[in-house]
Amino acid sequence: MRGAVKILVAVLLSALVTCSAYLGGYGAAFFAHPPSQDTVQDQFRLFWESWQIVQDNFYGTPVEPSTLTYGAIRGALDSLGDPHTWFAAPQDAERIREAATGQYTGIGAVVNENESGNVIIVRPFEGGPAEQAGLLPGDVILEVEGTDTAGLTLEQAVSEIRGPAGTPVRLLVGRDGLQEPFEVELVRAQIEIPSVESEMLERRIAYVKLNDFSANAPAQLHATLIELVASTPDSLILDLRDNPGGLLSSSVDIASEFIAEGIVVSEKNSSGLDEEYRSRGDGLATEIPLVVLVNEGTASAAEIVAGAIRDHERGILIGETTLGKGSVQSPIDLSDGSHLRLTIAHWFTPDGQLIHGDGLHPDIEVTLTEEDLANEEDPQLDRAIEYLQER
Amino acid sequence: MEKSRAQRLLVLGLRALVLGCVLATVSVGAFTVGFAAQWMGSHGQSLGEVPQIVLHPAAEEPQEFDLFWEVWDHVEKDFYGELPDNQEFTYGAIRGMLRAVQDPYTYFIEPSDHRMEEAHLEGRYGGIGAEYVMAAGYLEVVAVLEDSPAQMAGLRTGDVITAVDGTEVLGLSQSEAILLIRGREVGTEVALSVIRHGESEPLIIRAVREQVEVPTVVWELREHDIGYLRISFFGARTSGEVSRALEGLKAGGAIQLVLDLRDNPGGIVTSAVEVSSQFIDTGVVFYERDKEGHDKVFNARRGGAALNMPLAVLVNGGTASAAEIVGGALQDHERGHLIGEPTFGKGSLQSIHELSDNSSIHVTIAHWLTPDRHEIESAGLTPDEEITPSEDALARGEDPQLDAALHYLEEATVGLPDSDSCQPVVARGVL
Repeated sequence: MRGAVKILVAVLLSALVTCSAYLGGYGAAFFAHPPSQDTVQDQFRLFWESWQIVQDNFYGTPVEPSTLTYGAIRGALDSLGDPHTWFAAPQDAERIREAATGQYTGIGAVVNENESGNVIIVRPFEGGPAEQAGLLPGDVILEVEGTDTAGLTLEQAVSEIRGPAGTPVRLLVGRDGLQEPFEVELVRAQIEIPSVESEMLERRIAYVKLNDFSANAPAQLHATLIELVASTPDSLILDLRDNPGGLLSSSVDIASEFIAEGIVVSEKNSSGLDEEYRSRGDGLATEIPLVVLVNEGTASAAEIVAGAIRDHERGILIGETTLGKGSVQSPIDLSDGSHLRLTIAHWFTPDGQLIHGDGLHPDIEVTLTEEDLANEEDPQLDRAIEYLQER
Repeated sequence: MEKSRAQRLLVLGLRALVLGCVLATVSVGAFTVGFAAQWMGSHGQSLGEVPQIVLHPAAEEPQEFDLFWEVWDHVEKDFYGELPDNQEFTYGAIRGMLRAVQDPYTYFIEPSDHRMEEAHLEGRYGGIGAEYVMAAGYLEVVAVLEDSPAQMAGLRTGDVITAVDGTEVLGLSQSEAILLIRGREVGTEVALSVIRHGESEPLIIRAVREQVEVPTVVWELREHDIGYLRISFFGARTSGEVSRALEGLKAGGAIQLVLDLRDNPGGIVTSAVEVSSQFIDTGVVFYERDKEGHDKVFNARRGGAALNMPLAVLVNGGTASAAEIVGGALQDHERGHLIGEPTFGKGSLQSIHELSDNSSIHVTIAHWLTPDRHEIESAGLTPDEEITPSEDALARGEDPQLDAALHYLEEATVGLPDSDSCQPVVARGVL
């Protein structure tokens, strides 16, 4: 009798163990390779059919496999529906990497395209070859080495003008008020794009304008603050208008100049993990009364700094609602020298606000009209000065 | 005692060990069987579902393409946001690859749009004989054809269709919504939920789909025995329509002809050759130059119905593709006098390749040259007599180009051809 019970128990136990082991194995296999109705490879066959059709039939210059690959990458990334995720082929990638370092070799000027498609000098950098050669804002670069810039895209024209340091470049320049365009030869040099501009305004107000968040920006700001602190200002205006952002690490370094301690920004990535970035401490301007100027051109890393200053009640925001770019991109260099910019996270202000799509609303809203621009007036800056004096 | 106790312990220990081994073996075995069952099941299933239709050989993956998967690995691993499904992702890659060849006529079409396009090229579809546009998310009826199922069912212009056979229109694209109405076989019934101005309740209108044919040719007899023939598109049945139109015009006494190709975007090339052959007896209609530089000749087919009729051809900036082939052939053979504006300049041939899931791609495979080997692509055709209607004339509803054509033909019949025209004058009744 006892033997029979023992056998029964043994059988049941083995059956239980066998079943659970079977289910365990099934489950392990399921998670290792979830069943899929239609694998990428099955579906992607269509792509290779299309590729073959193009190779066999397309009229016109044969297209390099690498060009088709770049196109396919761009198209596949488009299907993500995220405007901040993009791909750059090797040639463009080089310039993007340069821009991120804040350094390049060229003539040292901010340029744009005018109505006729020529390159126009917006602003020469102090001490750069363009300024030394006497080029002025508004000068039009008609030709680069004999090539009409109207026939080039701005990107192409810029890459013609840039080149290794020490090499000459010949420009044909048109200037308002001059009958004839003139020719000028510049020698390209290593240019450091100034990220920071500063001055002491009336009544002991220090003014700092941050143009971007390149890798050099934190060091430049630090040096600027050391100079400004020496003149013992009573208050400070940080101008983040039209600052398109840059590196997340630069934003943390820069916010740390103004915020003594605590969280600057936190991010949530695709696996749902949070990462907090805290003030590094030792900031040079953690006590001084502060106003931050913002507008709709204030984006990304610039919004991180503005958001952190606001949430820590370190200063107030004056101006217009910011752009609202609350996503973080990772710059990825690919094996053939091309470049991928991939959205990998969303970031949140210290109080946990996701500004994506909404932007930061200023504490005091002041708009800048076309008329103000034409009259070279700056009511936003005026309001900031007024606020700091009333305090 | 001690000894026997130790022996008992040893026996117990051995039994436990054996039992443990057995259980472990069974567990591992069962785990393996379970793992294998799921593994085989999932992989066997997906293998069985690979599409079997092979219309085009798939290319071998070149080494350069490794970069694509390198990028996609990053995306799958780190992208913040929802990943597209395999189909969207593949379609995206195909679109991007085709954009990289930098030819505006090489592109990808999704399956639903492709079916629609086929129906359009054939000039027929199973439908109810109405035209629609998407307005504020719904389909608005903009035209109801005479004697069509739509008209018989009581559908009216201005009706707003909110659902088709119970499927909400809101959220669909125009072509998706229209395909719900047109995209099924002849003889089937379609139920439309319709909101009509002045009716408080939505109506349900039921109509039976039939073969609706879209005419591509319009013709009429004008004063001075001038026939007017307009071709709006070169579809599969256009040649037959032109043939019947010419019979009708000749029966009505037409001895000269205005061929209106304005705003004709082209269509099927064989249709263009057939239509050209109505006016040109022998010789080249056009050349097709392939990517190796070989010219394939397309000759006129003998037996045209209007080989000697004085002919004025109206063209404008909307005259493109197959319509430019016809215009170019008539011009180079000095068979027709081109009046109007420079044409569009779309002189390239695309082939439509169907992919295995019914999507398709258009690929530019050749360029067209006129009989005098004049490239149509980009250059277009230059009219013999350039007339651009003024804004004012258009606003008044005038047609100075047609007037010029009629004037040209009148001059031709009284024996006073344009000084720059080498066209023979044909007397009344020769045809």
